[in-house]
Parts: sequence; structure tokens; C-alpha cells
Amino acid sequence: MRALCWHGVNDLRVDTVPDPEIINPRDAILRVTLSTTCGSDLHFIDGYLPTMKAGDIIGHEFMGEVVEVGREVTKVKRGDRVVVPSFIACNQCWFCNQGLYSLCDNTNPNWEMQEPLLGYPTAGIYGYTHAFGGYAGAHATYVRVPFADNDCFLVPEGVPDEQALFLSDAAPTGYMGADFCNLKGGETVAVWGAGGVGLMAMQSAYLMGAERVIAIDRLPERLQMARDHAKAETLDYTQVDNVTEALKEMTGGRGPDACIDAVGMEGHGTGIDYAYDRVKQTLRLETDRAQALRQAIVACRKGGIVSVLGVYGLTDKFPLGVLMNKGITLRTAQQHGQAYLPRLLAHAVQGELDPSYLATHRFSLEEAPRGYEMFKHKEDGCVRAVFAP
Amino acid sequence: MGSDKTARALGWFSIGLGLAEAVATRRLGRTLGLESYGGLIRAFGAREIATGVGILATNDPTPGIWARVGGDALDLATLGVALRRTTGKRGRVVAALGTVAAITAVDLACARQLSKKGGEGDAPAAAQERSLSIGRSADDLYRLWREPGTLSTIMASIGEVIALDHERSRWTITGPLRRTMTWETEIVEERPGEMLRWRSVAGAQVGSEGLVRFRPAPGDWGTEVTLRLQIEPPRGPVGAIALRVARGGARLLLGQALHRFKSLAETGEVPTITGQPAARNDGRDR
Repeated sequence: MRALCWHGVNDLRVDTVPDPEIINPRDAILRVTLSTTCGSDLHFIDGYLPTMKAGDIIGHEFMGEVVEVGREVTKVKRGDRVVVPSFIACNQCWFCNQGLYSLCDNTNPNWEMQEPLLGYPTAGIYGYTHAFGGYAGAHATYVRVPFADNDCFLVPEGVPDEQALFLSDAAPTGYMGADFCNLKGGETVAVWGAGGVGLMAMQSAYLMGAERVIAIDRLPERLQMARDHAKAETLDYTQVDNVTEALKEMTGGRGPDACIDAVGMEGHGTGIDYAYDRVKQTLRLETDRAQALRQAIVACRKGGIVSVLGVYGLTDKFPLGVLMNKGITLRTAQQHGQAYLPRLLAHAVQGELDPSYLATHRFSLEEAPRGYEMFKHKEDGCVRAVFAP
Repeated sequence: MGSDKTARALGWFSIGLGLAEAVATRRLGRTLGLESYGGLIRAFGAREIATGVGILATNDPTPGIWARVGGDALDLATLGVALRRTTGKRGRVVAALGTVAAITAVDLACARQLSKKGGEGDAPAAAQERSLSIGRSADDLYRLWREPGTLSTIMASIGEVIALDHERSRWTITGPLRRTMTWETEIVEERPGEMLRWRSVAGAQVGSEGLVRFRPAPGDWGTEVTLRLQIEPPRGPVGAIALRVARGGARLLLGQALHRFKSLAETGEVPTITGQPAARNDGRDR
């Protein structure tokens, strides 16, 4: 089959590799119908995340058709059209039983790579470093899905592929970020980053009862999308002196009740502290440019919630004192997709959440390296590049 | 002088000689007629320093002294070459050869003595222990542990373990230098649902003792499983290195066995990427 492979920093190639086979009895093989880029992929493409190996197949946001199942698979059948969350979960361990699927104890064969840094290992994920399991990714003709009965979600008829695709990662991640905000109705939610995950978080916040949503970004086309598709008020951070002051004025001097960081370690910003992060990251003295997260903590109202969806390494200059003195609750996780997929599919069927507008650019799998280039440099207003093998 | 003191002296000697080879490379080369071998002499110097540090900075100097014996052999071979090639400086080379031969004798005696000491069990291999919580009852886990295929599945990263019968297993580990060590164990204590203890049978090449204990965990966490393993490899240089590897990697190996056992118990399979496609090797991960 053909597959998009990582061969080194900023070196992606489409290679011919063997087809995947059933390895464990609960595996299934999917013929990938659509897959998409994720901002978190850029971190290892740019060389900020370790434990990639030359030749790794990448891609963790996908959907497909089941073509083969292992002997212990009972629910999923050949021919099923399914969407699969990025994190692999067994649904048998203590963490899965709590709904904390991305913390699954039984899907990371390389747990020992994470243990020294994290203390305890996370679940495995498709195409996203060997510390996260080293599983072959989904920018390919076929992909192997372990624990298929738990991780393959049947897409209802009437929900088109491009709508279902983003229920793999962007939608559940954004939805979880809004869920973390503990919305009761009437809140103002500020979202840093109007990419796929940020836009999904904005729409999810409304679905959960938020009264106002404010989007913070610098790209006009993304701010436009936030206005058009997510009914958000927008704030271009390059046009204001101080984001905190601007948000304070927009909220009658209170600040947002909840802030969602949908940016992560390669964020952009302005001013001296952005320049400082940029230099330190380039010299590998820290892994992250965390200006969005710092802004969210300072801008959030007292006693509010900061929900972190951006992927980070080891951030320094973390304003713990601000967090502590303002009584901020910090909530974060990699997506627990399996916990949200049934609700998201229901929203999709009822027409309440249609993420298909994220698919701004479509490519064949052969053109995937070009797709990642466009996505990375946000050329031509690219929000997500979608690949059809 | 005891073998430990000799080892320390040899360690300092290594560092001294190494520094001389690294700093006075050209002079040494001229003296021995090895002028064009500056790179080699400097490399030998680095080797001496590394060996010296290895001997002095660790609790067990045995592998370091055996490394010195190997280094001596290299030195002798190099001087042999110099003796054949050189014309005017034969006397100096012969003198150097004599000195190295004398040092080799001291190294060899010291290494032998140290290995013998270790082999007699003066410093037994430290037992390593590790625990993991598994979401099944102690009885279920005990039964799974006793199933014939289980040990070979969960110990796959340590070596090959084959159940010979209900009491006995054969362990095979490929150690350093691709040398395999094989021994048989038998169960010596058995309390169903609680613990199991096994030990190498009398006369086994490798002494070993292992224990697995099952204790109920609080709340809905299932069972706390503790695995303890102690392996004493045969005497000699390979055994000494094997022991070091066993000590350093034991925590990891125990963790691998426990994680594999947990996944087997909770999901019926062990997570793996072996055999999946990748654009490297022959196209599949091994």
C-alpha cells in the first residue's frame, strides 16, 4: 500500500509499504476513506517531539471502512463505515472505566519510554512518536485498529464522510475542552486559536450553554470562520496592545469565566516574551512557546477555569503564582474521544455540529507532503488539509 | 594486597597511562617507532581512561579489570606489529613489550581473583522487586499465572521460558557476547490466590529465585501484584557482565513482565507493534 512516512525533520514522503495485518485478536483493518492533518503533527515534523523513527507512518485523525476483523471482534463487521478516535483504548482497565480513555493502561507497548518523564504511561496513539506507542498512522491506504469493538464508531447514514472525519480528533478534543469548562449556562468563554480544535471548542461551548464565545487569533480567514461558523466575537491579538485588557473591556471588567487554550507549543504571539520563547525554543533550551497559555491564565476571571487542549512539552516560566492567587482551576487531557463520540454522533445526526467546513483543502494521498506544507504555513487560508487515499 | 586494592591501583594506573597516551602522543609514537599511528595511540589513551573510570567509579570492578585484560592483548598485538616494522628502535619496543606483559599478568591474576570471589557468592545479586495494580481478583490472577503459556508470554522480553510441567520451567536468556544461559526452576512454595515462589533446581548453571505475590488493592483497583526476581549468573567475565546487565536492567525487565501480565489479564492480549508496516528494514517493525 501507499503511506505518508516521516523520514526526518521536515522530511515527509509517500512510500510503498506492506499492507497491515491483523496482529492481535481484537484488531481490525480499515481501508482509510479520509484522513486529515492535525496541528499537533507539526510538533514532530518540526523536530520538537522526540522518539520518532525514520520510516514511521503518520496520521491520527481518520475514518474508513472495515475490511477485516480479528477473531475476538464481535460488534464491528466488514463493510462498516466507522470513525476512530486518535487514542487507542482497551475499555477494560480502571482508566477506561472512568472514561479517561487517553490514559488507558493497556495500549502503549512502549510505556517504558514515557515512564521516566511522566511517571506513568498514557494510552497509545496512531502515528505519533514511539513514546506514544509507535503505532502506524492512518495517512495510508489501510490502517490497523486495535480493540476495534471499542474504538470503531459506526457512522450513521446521512452523515457524510467529511463531517464524520473530524469526529476522530478535532471535534472530541474541542468538545472535551468545553466540557472541562463546567458550563451551567450564561458564561463567557474565550478560546485561543481558531484552528480545527479551537473552532470545535467554540461551537461545543454554545452547545453546552455558553452565552458568549470570544475567539483570539491573528489570521483574518480563521477569525472570519469563527464568526461565520461558531458565532464567535473575535479578537485579533496583533491589533491590541494587551489581550488581557481587551478581554476585560469586552466582559464588563470581569474577564472570561473560562478560557480554552487550543494553541500549544508552537504558538505565535507578540512582544518581548514571545521573542524570548522563540529564541529559547530554537536553541532547545525549552520545548514550548507557551504565550497563549500564559495569556489565558492572566486573562481568566478570578475563580475561573482554564482548559488546556494545546499539546505541550516542558514549558518554563509557568505563572503558577497567578493560578494560585486567582484560584484558577486548570483542566487538561489528551482527548478522551471514546467518552464523547456517542454524543457527537447524535449532534451530527441532529445537524447541531457539522465540522465539514474545516476541510478547506483536499489532496490525494500522493500529494500529502504538499498538503502538510500548505497546512503548516497556513497558505491560502488552509485550516485543515484532507487526504483521500 | 587484596584483589579490591589491586583493582583500585590498576584503575588509577589506567587513568595515568591513558592521560600520557592522550597528551604525549607524538613523543610516545617516536619512542616506539609508531609515528604514523597517532590516532591509534590517542584512541588507546581514551580506552585506558574509560576503563580506569569504570573500575574506580563502580561498586564491582570485575568487568573493568577484565576489560583491562582485553586492552592488554590489544597493546601487545600493536607492539608486536611495531617490533616487525621498526628498524632502529627494537630495544625500546622489546622493553615496552616486557612491561606490558608484566602488567597483563597482574591484570589477569586480579581479574581471576575477583571473578572467583563473585562466584563464591560474597556479593550475591541484589533481588529486584516491582509492583503493578491489575483490575482482576487475586484468585483469577493466580490461576492465569499458573496457566502453561502465561510465563512464556509475559517473560518474552527477558528470555524464553518454557513450562516443562506444572512445577518446573526452563529459562533461556541470551546474555552478553551472544552466550545463552539455560537453567531449570521448580516451584518451592505455593499458596493459591496469594503467592508463588520458585528457585533454580540443584546443580543449575544459573542460580535464580523468583516470587510473585497477589494482595487485594483498595477500592476498585483489583489486586496489587509484586514480582521479585534474583538471578546469579555463572562465574567468569561473561557472568560478571551479565550480572551487571541484570542489575541495571532488572527493574525494566520486571516492569515489562508485569505490564504484559496486566494487559493479558485485563484484555486477553499484549499490546504490540511488532509486524506492523513501516518504511524501514524490510517494511515491517520487528
